[in-house]
Amino acid sequence: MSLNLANYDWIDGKEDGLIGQFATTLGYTELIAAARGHDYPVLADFFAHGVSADIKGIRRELRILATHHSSADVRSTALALRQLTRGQTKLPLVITNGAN
Amino acid sequence: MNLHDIAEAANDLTALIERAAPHGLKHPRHAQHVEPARKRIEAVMAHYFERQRVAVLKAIKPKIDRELRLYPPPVGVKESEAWEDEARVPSGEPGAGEWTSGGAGAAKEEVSAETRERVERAKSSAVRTGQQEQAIADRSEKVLSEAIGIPRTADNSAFDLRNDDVGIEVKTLVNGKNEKITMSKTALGRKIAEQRADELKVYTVVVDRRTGGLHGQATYYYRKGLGSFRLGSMIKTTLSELRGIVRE
Repeated sequence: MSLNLANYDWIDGKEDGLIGQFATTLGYTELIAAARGHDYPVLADFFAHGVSADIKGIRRELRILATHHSSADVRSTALALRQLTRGQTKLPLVITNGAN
Repeated sequence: MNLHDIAEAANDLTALIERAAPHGLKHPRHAQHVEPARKRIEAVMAHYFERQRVAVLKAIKPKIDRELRLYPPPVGVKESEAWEDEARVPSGEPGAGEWTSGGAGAAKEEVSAETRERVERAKSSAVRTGQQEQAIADRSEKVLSEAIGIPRTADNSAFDLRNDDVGIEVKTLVNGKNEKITMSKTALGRKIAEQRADELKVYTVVVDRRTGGLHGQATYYYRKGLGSFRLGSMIKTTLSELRGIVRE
């Protein structure tokens, strides 16, 4: 199951709201695990609900993950997600598997 | 002896001749030997680097197109700007070079009432994947992978399950009434590029867990190829049938 980033258009039922893929199911599970704890409160909330409007917080914490995490897989997944968030204005951002 | 050694030896020779001859290397007696030697070394170096250039291009040129198709550069994103939006602590101050924002102490952005309303609407929507849905999908995919004998992929690979011959995109339905699965155009492009490059047989598999949850009975659908499909256009199957199908 590919995990995609989407914007609010996706919630409105528009396929154009699907921005792009950032992880496989396994890659996303690892990213969620990496963001647990007190260091990544915005990401933890984003991943818990699959929804967040705090794009600055998301980008900031993804930058830290993409720079400092010990796992290369986590770093590249964080970077892929961060690149998709760039310039997005139709908030909130949504994580979706494109299947529900 | 490599080229560096030859060049060093040539330099040592010219230095030696220079020291031995008070009239310098331009003296006709010396120049008749030194100038041809220099030209010879230049020719050897030029030939060597041209061979290197040709060899490198021969090795990487056939792969450039494939790599660009598999990993397209993000449109409109300059990598050098990837970390552009936070300031750093100026040099000379404690923590110089550190980001000025970030971590648990960072102030939360104020959001408008309209955005808050949209967030609530999105959270109640079935088209988003929260941690709970993700956990079910993760376990579900693991069961599928083990049952059909095709390993899962990590990171941001194009396919969820992949071996040398087969690539499978798995979609797990956890909730909602939508009978459709959707792939973004860019994700689809990556998958097709990898399929072509590695000559894979590709399938889309849907695991419907909307009625039984993780521990209940799942219903499986598959379709050859990739794309956005309605369940009605896919073939209902079982795990054991699917195992046989992907190994044909």
